Amino acid sequence: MSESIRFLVPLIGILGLACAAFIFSRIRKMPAGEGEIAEIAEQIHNGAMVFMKREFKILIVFAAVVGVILWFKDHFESLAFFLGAASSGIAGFIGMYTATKANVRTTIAAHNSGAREALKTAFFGGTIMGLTVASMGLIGVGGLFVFFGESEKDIHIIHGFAMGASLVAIFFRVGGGIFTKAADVGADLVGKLESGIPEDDPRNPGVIADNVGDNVGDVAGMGSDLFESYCNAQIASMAIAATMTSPMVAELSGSSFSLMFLPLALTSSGLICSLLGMLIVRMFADLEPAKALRAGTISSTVIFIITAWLVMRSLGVSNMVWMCVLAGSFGGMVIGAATEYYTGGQPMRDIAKSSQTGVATVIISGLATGLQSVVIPILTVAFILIVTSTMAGLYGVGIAAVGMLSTIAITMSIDAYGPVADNAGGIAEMAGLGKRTRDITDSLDEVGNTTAAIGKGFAIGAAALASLAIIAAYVNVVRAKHDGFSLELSDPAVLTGVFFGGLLPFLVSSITMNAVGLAAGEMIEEIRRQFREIPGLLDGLAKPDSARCVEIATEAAIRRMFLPAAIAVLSPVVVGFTLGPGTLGGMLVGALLGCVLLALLMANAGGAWDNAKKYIEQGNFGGKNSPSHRACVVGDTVGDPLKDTSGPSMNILINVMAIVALVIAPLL
Amino acid sequence: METYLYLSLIPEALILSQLPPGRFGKYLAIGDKKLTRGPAIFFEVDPSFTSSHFQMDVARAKCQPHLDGSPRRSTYVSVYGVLANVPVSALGTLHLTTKDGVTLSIEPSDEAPPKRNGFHLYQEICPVFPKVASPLGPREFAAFVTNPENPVYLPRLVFCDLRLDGMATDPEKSSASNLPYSDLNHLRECLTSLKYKSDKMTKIVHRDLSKDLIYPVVERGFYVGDQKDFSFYSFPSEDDLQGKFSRWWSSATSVSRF
Repeated sequence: MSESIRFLVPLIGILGLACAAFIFSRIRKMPAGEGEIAEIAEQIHNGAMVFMKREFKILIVFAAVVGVILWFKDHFESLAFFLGAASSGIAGFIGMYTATKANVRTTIAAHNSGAREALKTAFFGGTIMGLTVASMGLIGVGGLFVFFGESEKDIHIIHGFAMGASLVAIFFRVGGGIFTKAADVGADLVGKLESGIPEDDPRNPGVIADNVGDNVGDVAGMGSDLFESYCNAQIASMAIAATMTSPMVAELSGSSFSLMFLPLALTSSGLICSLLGMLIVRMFADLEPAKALRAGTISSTVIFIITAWLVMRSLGVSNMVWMCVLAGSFGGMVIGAATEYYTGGQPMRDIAKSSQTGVATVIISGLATGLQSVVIPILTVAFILIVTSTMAGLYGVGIAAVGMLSTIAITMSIDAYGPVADNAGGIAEMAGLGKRTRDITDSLDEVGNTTAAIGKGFAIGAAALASLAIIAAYVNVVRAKHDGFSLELSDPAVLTGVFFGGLLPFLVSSITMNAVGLAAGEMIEEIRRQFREIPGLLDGLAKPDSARCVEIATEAAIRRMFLPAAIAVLSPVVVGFTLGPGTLGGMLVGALLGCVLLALLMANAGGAWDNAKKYIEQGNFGGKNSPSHRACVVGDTVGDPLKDTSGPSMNILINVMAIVALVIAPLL
Repeated sequence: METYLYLSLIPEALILSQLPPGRFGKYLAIGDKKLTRGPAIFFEVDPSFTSSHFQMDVARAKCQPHLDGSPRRSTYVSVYGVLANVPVSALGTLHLTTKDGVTLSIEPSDEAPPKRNGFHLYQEICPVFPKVASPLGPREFAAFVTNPENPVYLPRLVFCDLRLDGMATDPEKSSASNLPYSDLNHLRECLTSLKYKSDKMTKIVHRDLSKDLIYPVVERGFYVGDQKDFSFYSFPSEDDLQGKFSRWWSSATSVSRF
């Protein structure tokens, strides 16, 4: 096959962006409400834009510093870094912009047209983010491959793109995670501190920030997280292919180009399969929301697996590599199913049942569920590792990660659907649109909570595989400079690194969890100031300055994310240059294991506590307001920063550490 | 400035105030120093009401605006044995204020409370406040507990009925899994004991008032009655609570995380 095929990748990316633009134009034409509804929606949208602008202001400074340092290493790598940061930033901005336009349209669709139209609006509101993430990845990585993919020597330039994406991911995921919970906790605490203001009262200046936070966490945060894994998986696979020995290349394919190009070919076809999946969701919109979304996800995965086989046949790549794609896709589904089981199945109901004996048993059973929930995903990752490395060596591991992430467009769409549906319910509540509308938005939101939990499990699995691939690429790059380099467990330097790496996830989790409380405190002070200084605010005669609350929460979140971000970026540099590549390699291994275990524990325990509370609210074990409910509310509160702040930070931590290590590897 | 007369049930007190019901409810529930004090339930009483039991004139003279022109929030007329000395006919709108200070006002109904079979669970609110199970309907229950021929009786009683769902008719077998009471087994035992003791008209389930758990479980409404008079304040339907009164209902059923 002609090597000019690589030009097709960015073109497919542009096609994806065109589809996103078309969907947005359709959504924008839908009725957006009037009066109070439009005003609330505008406040949420403006709040989201305030968050993005604040993030970008600081991000630009941070990126400039890192970019200049990279400039001295390699000019093109530095430019690729800026391109990666810009691509991720643009994807986040577009996602936030469109999700906060789709939310009110979902509310109006639920109010005027019913559940079917509301589901379609919320889902297609989310697809814009999904398509943008995938498309920007294809345009960025594919575009760089067009220029630097010809020579194995130049492939390292593309690593800069991954590092740029990782930098944005730290800001959006860690900063966003702190913001979302600080806003949530701050808004709720006002009800306690400023009596007479119920939690979701429009007079509360923190309510808009709370709604903005939903988008920050699950749109910008999750988007940058998956974008990073998506790009890292492709880039790591290319890096492994570039350093592959000739016999291995011959065993897997006729040419090194085919192996380097394969990740891009797979993600390009994954985008097209995702578009088909989106159409299937549209076709099944009359079904229950959960069934319609599942039909879209499963069908796009199945179509992708078949397409991947055809792609490999045309590139002349061995069926052994296709088996790796199969393993990755299968693993993604198993991790998603395990997450669904632990956060929505019998273990969740057991937590709800334990609430009959009080708060302590809710906490104990929730922790036990979280601890147990790591078993299946970790066994799955181990299974993928064994199968893929047997089939295609370390390249197979990278391709499995690519396989898992190829249909990212629909996975991300379903994840971004969650906050759109959640916001739609919030707007209906604040605007007093009545029980019927809220029942519809609640049913959409309920599915959104499950999809968010599954999305988190998927993101963890993807990050784990992507990081494994990058660590493999790191070893190959170091080996190219230090002949015979390997990570030996009998080497004390490597073991020391494993211990260093193991402690980092715990340290970062502790910092991010405390950051929520501190950032929430600053927001509460601002809310109290507004009640004190804005005449008539408490009586509903004046409007709160919601944008200021968003600004305060954003600044507080960004200030408090510097330390975890610095740990993620600097620890590989410090360890690598002082203790050597062996210790750094060990550190990546220790951090990978710690991050994956903690991320699964925190995401699943938090999700299970959240759903146990909702299960009781459906009328079980005494229903809402019962002692069981109060016990589960405590569990949910404990789980909130775990699942929305510290847990998601783990994906970023390991990915950033791994990509920084890969970038500095030639210098070690 | 208009002066209102309120009969507060939690705690029992007759109060003059220059605050209209909504603001008065908020004042009772959360005070003026932003300190949460819990829900408030109070009647609006005919402002011209007089009684030899209370020094109404003295209180009215005291209930004047502050020097800065702001309204007088409260002038207490009496704090003990108040309900016994205010006839049902003098009681007007009933105001239900949540712990957040949001007030729902309900008027006395011209119709009798809807009848249903089985046992009832009553939350007595004033002047005493145990939770009581009984086979008697609301009107009969009010008449029974205020009957002077009983060894123990009350002069007058304000109470509401609470949801029992399936336990009302089948206390032994009904699952009752969606009832938010802390000790369902005890409640089941109380209702079962009434079932097998046909001469027993009341059974105390709890001796105290769970203030946070009145509004979410009210069945048909609030009642005030004695030997002569009886008044029923119908609680809004679920649709109205979710729609027209959604802000109040959301506040009444919210569970704070902190």
